[in-house]
Formats: sequence, C-alpha cells, structure tokens
Amino acid sequence: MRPDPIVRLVFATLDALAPESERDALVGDLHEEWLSIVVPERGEAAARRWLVKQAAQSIVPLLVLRIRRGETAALLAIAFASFASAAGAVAGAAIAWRWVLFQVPLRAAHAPPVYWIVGVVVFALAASSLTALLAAWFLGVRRRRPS
Amino acid sequence: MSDPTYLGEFEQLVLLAVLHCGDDAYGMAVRREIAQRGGRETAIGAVYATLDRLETKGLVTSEKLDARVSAAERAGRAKRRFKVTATGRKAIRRAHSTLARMMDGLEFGRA
Repeated sequence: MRPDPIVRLVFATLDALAPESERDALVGDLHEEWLSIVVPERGEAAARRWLVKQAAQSIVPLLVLRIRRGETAALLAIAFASFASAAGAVAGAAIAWRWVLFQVPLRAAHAPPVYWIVGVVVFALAASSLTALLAAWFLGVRRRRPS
Repeated sequence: MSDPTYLGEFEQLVLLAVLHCGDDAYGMAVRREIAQRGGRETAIGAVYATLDRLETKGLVTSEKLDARVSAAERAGRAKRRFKVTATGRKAIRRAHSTLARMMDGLEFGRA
C-alpha cells in the first residue's frame, strides 16, 4: 500500500533536513516505530498525527545539528528559494492590489501603514513556509529516487 | 572553558536510556526508553541531535549496522547502534553523585 501524501511529505521533509550521516538511521527508526508500533496501537489517523508531531518537533534540533556541523549548503538553498519566492509573491500582490485600488477607490486604501506591514509579513511568512516545505519535499524525493 | 563531560538533564536521560537498552540501543529504542521510564515524550530529531553531541564529547560511540539486516518496516534504511564509553559511564556517575550531594540534607514534602 502506498502511504498517504502527508506521511510521504513528513518522511521527505526529514530526509531533506537530517544530516547525511544520520539520515538513514533517523528516518528508518521513525518509519519502524510508526509502522510497527504506533499504527497498530493507535490506528492510522492518530499515528499520522503522531508522525507529524514527531517531524515538527524534530525540525529545530536537526537544523541546529546541521548548522553545528557546518552542513549549510542545502539549508541556504532552501532559505534562498523561500526568500526569492516570498519576495516575488509579495511584490506581485502589492502591484495587483495597487491596480485594484487604482480602479476602485476603496476606503481601505487609507488604512494605517501598520495593517499593510502586518499583511505583508504574514503573507511573506506563509509563502516562505510553503516554499520551504515544497523545497524540502522536492529535495527528499530527488534524494530517494533510485538511480 | 566548560568541562566537556558536564551533562545537561536531557543528555543524562539519553545516556541512561542507552545504558538501559544495552545491545539494542538505537535511536527508536532510546526514544521509547525515555518515554516509558522517564515519562517524557521526545522527538526523534532531539534524540539524534543529543546522541551526536555526546559522541562528539566522546561519551558514546556508534556503529552502522549492515543495511541488509534492516527489516521491511524500516523502508530499507540501515540502523545505527550506540554504546556508552568508559568516559560516558564516569560522567553519568559523577552527575549522579553531584546531584546526590546537592540533595543531601534537604527535606522534601514540607510546605
């Protein structure tokens, strides 16, 4: 049976984040515990939640581990891709919104700058997170693809 | 400079879990040991990051097991087994005796 997309995304994310020397052992351990212990004990839905929680709580320690070892090339690539896409998305949204305001003179056009700043930051964070996840997934898929 | 054999609380838990696991001390077993004995749910990433730090300090060693022994539920991934070194045993004994000395003379359970 092929695991669902969330499970695949979790393993691909950990695949991308874990340092090379730990990758096999870490992902293998998590896969083993999830499949042979957690799924039979708690059922598939709860096991999926457990897996997502494990991955989410592992992100910071794994990033720290990579930085401590100086393995930052992949992280820099992900950060750059995130920043570039977020900047592009924010610029595009700002231009589109300007055009809308130009067509229809809404009262929102006179909203205090703080709303604009908060909106742009939230949008940038959301776009960065999404891109980082997609980049991690993409790197993980490429790494696992048999040659 | 701080003593490299000084152990933080989580490092102590991980070292003790590795000792409890014996010959079966790999990441998943260590994580489960901490959850069962210590009552503390931890992330596998945190366990591996700590094991890496302990290995750098020379308190544990690790060996990769042959990928062929990996079962299907590991998705073909190799295992890594950890072992506490003599320095690691000494460090955990020292941490324990320091704590015991600090607790000595204190009474708990009173308001």
